[in-house]
Amino acid sequence: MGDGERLWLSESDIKTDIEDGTADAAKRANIPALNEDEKKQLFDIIADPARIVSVNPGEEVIVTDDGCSMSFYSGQDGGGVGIPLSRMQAVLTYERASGGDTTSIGHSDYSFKPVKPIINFEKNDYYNISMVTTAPLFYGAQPNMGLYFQPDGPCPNPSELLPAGKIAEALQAQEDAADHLTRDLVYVGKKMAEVGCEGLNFDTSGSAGDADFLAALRAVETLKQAVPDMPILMGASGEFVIGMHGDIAYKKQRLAGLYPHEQAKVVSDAGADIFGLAIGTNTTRSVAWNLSRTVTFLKEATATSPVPVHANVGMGVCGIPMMEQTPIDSVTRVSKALVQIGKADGL
Amino acid sequence: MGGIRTSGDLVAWMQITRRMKIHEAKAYVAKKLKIDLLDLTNEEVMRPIREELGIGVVTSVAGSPKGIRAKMKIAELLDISIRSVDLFRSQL
Repeated sequence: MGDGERLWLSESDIKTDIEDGTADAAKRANIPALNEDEKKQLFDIIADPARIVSVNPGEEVIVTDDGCSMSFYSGQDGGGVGIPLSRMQAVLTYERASGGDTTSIGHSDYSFKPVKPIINFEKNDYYNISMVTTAPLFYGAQPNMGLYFQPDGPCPNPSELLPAGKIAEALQAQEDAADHLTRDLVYVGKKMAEVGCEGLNFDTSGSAGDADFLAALRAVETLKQAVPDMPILMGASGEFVIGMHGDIAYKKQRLAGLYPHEQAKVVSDAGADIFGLAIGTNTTRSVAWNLSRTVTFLKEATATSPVPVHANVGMGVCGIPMMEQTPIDSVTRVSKALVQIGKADGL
Repeated sequence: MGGIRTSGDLVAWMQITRRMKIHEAKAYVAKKLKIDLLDLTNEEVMRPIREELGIGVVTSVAGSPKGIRAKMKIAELLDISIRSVDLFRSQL
């Protein structure tokens, strides 16, 4: 199940969930559903009797991450196992003992705003670690526009303004917050570029809605003009951009309601080098249903995206169950299906 | 793909520096290494290639290139610009 419960389903139940899942995604995003061959492939992956499954030789893809090495030394709330390692030790362990295709570091809060006051600490750590790593080293965090609203930030809080009927004020607050966020993303990006940053990751863009997504797009565009050779990965936060504002556009494209294949297009237009696709897992539905939906969204995104598409497969994303210790049965089935059927360029 | 155990880091470099999709990136790396696509994830093939080219191997061979030294060779091998390498070269 989407909450990690081990469930025994009949063949017909799985097939029904696959059918319902792909139909739901196709209807919502107005995209093609999985064809009969793809549905059969997905059934075979899900019904495989082995506990762990994998792609065929030659079909392997690379993996990027959102601070994966932080999980070595952080605590439970970060999915961490609490080993007393330094950042550098954790990154090198991930690269050399886990065989990571890419590595990354980021602020413990994993938001860009708190990086500003400690930017020189981050630059030093990044530089030192980049001298000893061999695989690409990203600096990543979430745009997280929510931090710019009161009481955490300078802008009035739309969550308080909207219930009070102050619509115009709520819209303005989001636009102002997006301006603050764009400036901070560009500031951190430029500073990291000074120390030879090999890649920047705007992870979970749009988590506070369309204005959040816009801020990340504008930051990508500005950074690509200033530092064109610094790769940028921009990941989304859900199957469609939430219209918290509703009337936000980037290059005349309204952002609210954009589905993954449309998100990939605007992310590419902004200048990002990789698009990260995120589909929330419904905890009350089966992995088969969730995975069928995700693969349907992903297949269309990879088919039409001008840039590589990586499917985010963290806890509760893209069919992975929403729980701390994700069952390896589900994780490997999701990974295999996203690559073999969804044609992901990476995870 | 196994990172520096095999060729995952090399394929990743091509995706992030040239916006290559997975099949294009793998084909590019395989051509540069003069190996079959299937061997990109073949540890038995990739290990000696990485050691010979000095682009970093997963186990620690004393004195062999790792980190920035390996990345300098990777940039030359793949004909790409790696920003940390460019910075390092500018300081030599």
